[in-house]
Amino acid sequence: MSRWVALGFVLALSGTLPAQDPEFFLPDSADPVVRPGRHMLLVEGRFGYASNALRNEFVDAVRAGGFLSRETRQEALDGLADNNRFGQELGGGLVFLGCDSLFGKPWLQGQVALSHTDIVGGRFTRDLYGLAFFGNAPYEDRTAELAPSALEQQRYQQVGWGVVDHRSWSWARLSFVKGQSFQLVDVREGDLYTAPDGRVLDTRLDGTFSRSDTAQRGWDAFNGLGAALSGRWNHRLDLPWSDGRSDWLSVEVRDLGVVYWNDRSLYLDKDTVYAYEGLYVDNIFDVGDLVVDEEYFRDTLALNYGPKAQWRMLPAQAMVRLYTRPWQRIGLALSVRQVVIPGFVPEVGLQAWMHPSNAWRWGLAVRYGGFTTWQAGLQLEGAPGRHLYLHAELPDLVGLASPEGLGRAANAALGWRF
Amino acid sequence: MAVLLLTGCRRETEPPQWDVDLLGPLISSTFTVQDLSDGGEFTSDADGNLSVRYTSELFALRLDTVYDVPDTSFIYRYGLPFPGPFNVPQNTVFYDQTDVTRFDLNDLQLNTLWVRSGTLGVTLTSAVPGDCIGRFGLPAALLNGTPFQVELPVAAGTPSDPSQAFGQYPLNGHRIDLRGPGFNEVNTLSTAIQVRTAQGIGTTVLTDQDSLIAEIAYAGIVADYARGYFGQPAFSVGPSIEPLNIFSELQAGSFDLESSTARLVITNGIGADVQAFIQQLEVSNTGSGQSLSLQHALLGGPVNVSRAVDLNGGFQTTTYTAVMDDGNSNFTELLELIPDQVSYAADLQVNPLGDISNGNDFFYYDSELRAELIVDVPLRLIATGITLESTFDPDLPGTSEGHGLQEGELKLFADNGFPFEGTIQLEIVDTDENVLDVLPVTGTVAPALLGPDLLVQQRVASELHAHVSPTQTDLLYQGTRVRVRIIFSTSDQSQHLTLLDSYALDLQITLGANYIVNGDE
Repeated sequence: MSRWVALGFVLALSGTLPAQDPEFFLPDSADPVVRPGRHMLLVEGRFGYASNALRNEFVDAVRAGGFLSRETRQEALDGLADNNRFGQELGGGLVFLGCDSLFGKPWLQGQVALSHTDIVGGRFTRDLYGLAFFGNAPYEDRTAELAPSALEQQRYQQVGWGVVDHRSWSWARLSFVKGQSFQLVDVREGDLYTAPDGRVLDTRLDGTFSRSDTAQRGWDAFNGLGAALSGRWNHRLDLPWSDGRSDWLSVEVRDLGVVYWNDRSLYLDKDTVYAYEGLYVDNIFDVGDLVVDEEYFRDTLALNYGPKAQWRMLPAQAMVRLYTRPWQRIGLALSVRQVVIPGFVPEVGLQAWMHPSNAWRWGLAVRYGGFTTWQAGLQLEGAPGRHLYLHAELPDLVGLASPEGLGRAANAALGWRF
Repeated sequence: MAVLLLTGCRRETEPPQWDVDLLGPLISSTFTVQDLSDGGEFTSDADGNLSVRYTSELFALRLDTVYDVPDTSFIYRYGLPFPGPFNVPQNTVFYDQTDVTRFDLNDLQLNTLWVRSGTLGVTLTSAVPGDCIGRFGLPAALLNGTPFQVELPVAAGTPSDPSQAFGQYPLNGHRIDLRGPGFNEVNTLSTAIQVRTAQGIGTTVLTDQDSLIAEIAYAGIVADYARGYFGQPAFSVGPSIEPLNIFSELQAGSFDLESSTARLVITNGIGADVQAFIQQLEVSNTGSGQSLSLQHALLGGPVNVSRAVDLNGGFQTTTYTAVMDDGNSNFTELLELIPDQVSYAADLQVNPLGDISNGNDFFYYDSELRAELIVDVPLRLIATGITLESTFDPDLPGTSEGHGLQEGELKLFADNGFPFEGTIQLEIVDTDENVLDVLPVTGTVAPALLGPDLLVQQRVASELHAHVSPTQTDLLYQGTRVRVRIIFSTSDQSQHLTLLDSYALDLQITLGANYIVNGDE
C-alpha cells in the first residue's frame, strides 16, 4: 500500500508540462521527443521472460540451480500443450537526441544510439520436454514427437545514427551491428522411437543446427558484422470521435537487418533416419577399448558440425499501432506486434492511457500472444519538471506476483532533457 | 534437448540438475568360433564342418648369421730396395704388384661370392716426396662384367711427416670369383695394386728412406649368394619357448577333442644337407601349470633334410614333414591341455655326409632352414566350463567426485546358434584383479536346439539381467576394472558335437540407467 501512496504523492506534486509542449507524449513515449533545438539523453533497459506453458515456479527452480524435483518437473509437464513456446529478452541502451537542425531543416534532429540485445525464443513439443527432463525410458515402445521445435538466440550490439522529424515524431536510424554470438536449432521434423528394453533407438530428424564461434563468446567477442534499420513512421489522423485531439497511426520496425557471421561459425543441415542398435564390436571382448562419448555419437549419427560463414537475419520486430484519444484525459491504443524469432506469435495489445496531468500519464494494457497468452500490465510515464523524463512498465502483473504466472518482465527508461 | 530448452533461461553458474531415466542399446556383436583363437586360421569343408589350423614357427635359421664374412684388412708396403737416389719422371709407375688375398671364413670354403652389400676401404700413407696416384683393382670381382678398380691420389710426404689419403668404395652387386689366379683355390681373391707419380710434378727422386703403405679393408660384407663347401658345422636350437595361440582367448575349462593332427615341417632353403635331432617338444598351459611332452617316433631319431636345388639365380626348397596324429602320437592330449606355449630343443648338423656336392653347397640371401608346427583341429568336441575372460577399464562420464550416472540395469540379449550353454560373471576388480564386488547376473544363455544328427536345428533366445546399484556405480569410479567371464559348456556332455561355420551367437547389451543431468564433473 505504501508504494501506491508514494505514487500518488509523486503524481500530485509533479508539475505540469510546459504549455508549449502539450503533446509531449504523443504518439508514443517509448522514444520520447523533445522540441526542436533541445537535447535529450535517454537510458533504457528491459528484461522479459514469457512462456505459454512453463510457469514461473519452474523457471525459478531452473534459475536457482540445485536439484529439480520430479514433482516440479511433472507439474510443468502437466501444464504443457502440444505446441509450447518461450522467450526472453534482455536489452538496454543509450539514446542521444541532439543538433539544432539537420540538413538546414529546423524540424529535423539527429540521434545517436548504442544498444545491447540478448534475445532468445523457442518452441518445443511436449515430448521434447519429456525427453529432456525425464529421459527416454518413459517412452519405451512409444514414439516421442520432437518436432516442430526450434530455438534461436542472438546476442548483438549496435551503434546507430539517425534523424527525428519533430513534426510527427517519426524517426529512422541506421545501425552497424556487432554480432556477439548466436545459435539456432530448428527441428522441422523429428521423432524418437524407443523399442522395448531399449534394443533399438529409431530416430528421424530433419533439422538445421548452427552457431557462432564457440571459442569467443564474451562481451568482447566479434563474431559477426552487419547492419540494421530501425524506425517509426507516425501519421496523424483526425478520427470523428476525437474532437480535434490527436490520433495517430504508427508503423514501426526495429532491428530489420542481417549479420554476417564469420567462417568460424558452425553449421549442420541434416535430414536423416537412423536406427541405432548399439555400437557394433567385432569381438565382444574388445569392449574395453571402446570410447563412447558425445563425439562418438556425433560421428555415428553424422551430426558433426562443419565450419561455415553464414548470413542470418536479426530478430526483426514490426508493430502497427493506432492511438486515439476519444476523451481529453483518456487515450486508447490498439497494437499488433510480431518479432521474427521462434516461439513468438503475433501479439495483439490494447492499452488505455490516463492523463491526470500534462506531466504524467499511466495506463493499463492487455495483450495476447507473443511468447505467452494473456498478459495484463501497468505503465507509467512522466516528465516532471523541465529536464527529467521517466518511463516504467510492468507488462505482466500476474507473472510478477505469482509463481503460477507465465512470465516476468519490466521495462524502464530515464531521460534528461536539456 | 535440455540445453535447447534451457539455454535461454539458465544461469551461467550452478546449473540445475535433474535425473532422467535413459534406455538404449550399448553394444551389439556376433560371437563366432573365430573369436576363440587369436592366431588360428579357420576353414570349413563342404558340409560346413569347422577346423582350426594354427601354425607356429619354431625356428628359422639363416646361414648368413652363421657363416659370417668378417671384416678383414690387408696391408701392402713399398720401399726402394737400394739406397738410391732414383729418379722417377712424372706419370711413371714405380710400384706394381699383383697379389692374392685369402679370407679366413672358418668352415666355409667358398669359390663364389656375390656381394649384396659391403665396402672396400683404401688408405694410402705416403712418405714419397712427390704427389702420387694409387690404383687398386680386383680382377676377379666383376660388376656387370667390369672388374673392380679404383684410383686414389695422395699428396707428397716425408718420412717424418707422411701424407695420407682415404677412400671408401661400395662392393654392392659385385660377383667375386674366390678361386684365385689359378682357379684352383678357395676363399682367395686376386688383387692388383699400382702406384705412379702424378702428372705435371716433374721428376721425383726416391731413396730407400721413402716408403708407401696401402691398407685395404673389407667391411660389412653381406652375401647375396655363396657357393663352395660349407663344412660340417653343428648348431643347437633352443631350448626355446614359443607362444601357442591356438586357443588364446580361453582362460579355463577343458576340451575333449575327437581328433587332431599336427605336422612338423622342416623347410630347407640352403644348398646343403642338414640332419636334425629333435630333442624335446613340450606344450604347457601357463594358467593351470600343466605341461605334457610329445610322444612320437620323431623325438630322438635323426631327421634328414635334403639340400635345396640351385636354380642359378634362385632356389627351390626341400621339405621334410613328420605327421603326428592319434595313431602315432599323443598330440590330441597335448591340445586338450589348452596349451598357450610350446617349448622345443634340437641339434642340427650340416653336411652329415661330408662334401658330397664337390664344393657346390650354396646359399642365397633368402635361404633359411625353417621349422614349423602346423596343427589341424577338427572342431568336434565336448567342452566343459570353457571360460573366456576380459578385463577392462570402464570409460564412464564424470569423476569419482561427481558423476551423473547413478545406477543401471544391464540387459544382455543372446540369440544362440551354438550347442553351448553359457553363464556370465561380472565382477568389479582392483588393479591386482582382486574381486571387490560382484554384479549378480540373472539368467543363462540357453543352448541352441540339436537335431537327431547332433547339429543345431534351431537358435534359442535368452535374456540376462544385471543390476548395478548406486554403491557399485560409485565403486566403478574408484579406478577399478570390470572383469567379464563367459563360461561355456556343450549341451551334450556325452558325445562330441561338431561346430559348423554357420554357428554364431548374436549378442546385444542394453542399458537402462538413472542419470543426473549436469552431474558430471
